[in-house]
Amino acid sequence: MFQQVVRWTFIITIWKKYKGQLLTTIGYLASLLLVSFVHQDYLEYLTASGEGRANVGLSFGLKWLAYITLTVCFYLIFTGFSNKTQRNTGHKGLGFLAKFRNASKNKNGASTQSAFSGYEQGQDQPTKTGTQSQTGPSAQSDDLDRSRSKGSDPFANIRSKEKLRSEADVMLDLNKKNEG
Amino acid sequence: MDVKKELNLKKKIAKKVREKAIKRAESRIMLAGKTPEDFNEVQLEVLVKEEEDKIFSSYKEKGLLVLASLLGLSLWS
Repeated sequence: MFQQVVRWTFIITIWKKYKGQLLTTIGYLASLLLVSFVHQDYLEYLTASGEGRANVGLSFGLKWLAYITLTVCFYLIFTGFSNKTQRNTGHKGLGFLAKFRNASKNKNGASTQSAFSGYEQGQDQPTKTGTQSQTGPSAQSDDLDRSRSKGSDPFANIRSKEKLRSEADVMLDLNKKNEG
Repeated sequence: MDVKKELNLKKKIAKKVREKAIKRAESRIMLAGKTPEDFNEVQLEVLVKEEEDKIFSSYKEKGLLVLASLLGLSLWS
């Protein structure tokens, strides 16, 4: 019974992660087989009907053209899915970080501006809003104290936080501040 | 109870993962030709969180396979 659970968990995990690639590969192989069967049937038809060999060469040409087209399509779709999987696991560069600065500038609420201002102006000590964590206002003052004591390490506050905010959480916070 | 508190594996693991995530974030920043000081804390937090999520998801994936291999389970028979 336990073996069944592990087996299905494994299969479902693989399916969820590589669904696109698996379906593309199955579709590609099925298409190749289909083309092959159609061509074989055509050759048998020519032999049975005795229509001559005029179109045999053309049929081979078409078959290989279909194979090449299918392979190119398969490559493009497969790499598309692979890139999508990679994108889902995280950003490649650091350009996405700029959106937090931009978000605070574009919407230009004074409150959101201050979320980054403490750091952008080169101050050693961040402003209160800049260090806001999910743990509430009491934790904010603790964060400030810690940042003062730990000096220049930019990751000092991050080390001490229990829970970090994701991209979405930060965006939500910014939106809330804009509305508020 | 004390033993449980002292062991506190969950916290220890979380701390180790956080350190690993910070190191990965630092390498990403270096590869981009910048320094951590170029970013504000919110940006660093998002970056470290992303790396932390990556580490946890890789642990989950590997854990499943390790469990299967430890138990000597043949998946297809």
